[in-house]
Amino acid sequence: MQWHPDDLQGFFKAKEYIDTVILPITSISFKNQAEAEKLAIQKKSIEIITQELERNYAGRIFVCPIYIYQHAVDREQEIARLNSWTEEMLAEQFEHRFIISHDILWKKYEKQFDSHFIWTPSFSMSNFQSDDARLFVKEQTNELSELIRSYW
Amino acid sequence: MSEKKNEVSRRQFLNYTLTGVGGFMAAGILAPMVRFAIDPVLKATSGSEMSPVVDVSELSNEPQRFDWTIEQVDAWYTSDVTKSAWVYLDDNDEIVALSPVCKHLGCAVNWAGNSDYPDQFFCPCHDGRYYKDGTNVPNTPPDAPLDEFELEVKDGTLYLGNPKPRGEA
Repeated sequence: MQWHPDDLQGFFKAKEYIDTVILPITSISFKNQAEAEKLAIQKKSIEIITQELERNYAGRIFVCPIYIYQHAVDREQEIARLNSWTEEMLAEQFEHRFIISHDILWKKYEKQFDSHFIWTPSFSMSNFQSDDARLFVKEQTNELSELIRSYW
Repeated sequence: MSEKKNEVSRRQFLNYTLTGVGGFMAAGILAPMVRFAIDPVLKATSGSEMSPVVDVSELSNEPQRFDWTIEQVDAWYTSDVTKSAWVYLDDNDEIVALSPVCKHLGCAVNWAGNSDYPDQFFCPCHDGRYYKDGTNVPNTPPDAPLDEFELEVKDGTLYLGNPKPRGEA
């Protein structure tokens, strides 16, 4: 399920079955072109991967709209905000909560997250239509879904 | 005077009737022709076109999952949508293409997804199960069989259209 009028209709009808939420997070920075392009690819990549997860597990996983933060933000502050977000808005409804990101800088703060934090590699290519990209996404989603299912 | 008037109105009546009937007949003949003439236009927006999915020679008795992408046009908004199907040959060597979308809450089912049931489709979300022909296994969450894709084979390639629900199991 996604944050989508049609999906939400289904969600409120079948709430008790949907016990898992994924919050994709990604950052934005205009500091220099190389970094900006890299972050744009990461955003696209996390979008594709979480949508593919959603497509396969629509009946149990709710994928939130992407959460955007500034790349140069104070990470501890951002974690506090993310934690209040996941706790206050998501904890009542969803038993299993995952934050998923391509941003490796979070890895260091992993323990401070109240929800499960998953770092996953982004693809480095900007051609999302290629067969390589498709295979990459397929493998990523397979592994991620295996991980998520291990919590069920 | 009144007789004359009657005669004219009778002729007029016949004229009108003939024109009317003729008009309807012409419309009846022309409508399908117009429909055929602009058929490609209608097809492009209806979203019911068939997409090439796989070479028929790749199919076997074992269900395999194939993914393909279509461009979906909803009025002004175009988006790429990925679709999937489980395709296999049944006992009569006829192609069966099932939609993987579980009838319970819409997860994707997997063939032999649960090692306890190696010859069934399994939904990982809430343990729904389906037999190989797509019929839902009683006493599991789904209450209907898996949808079946419209299919056609052209030049050795399997084309799939839209998934169609089947009758109640």
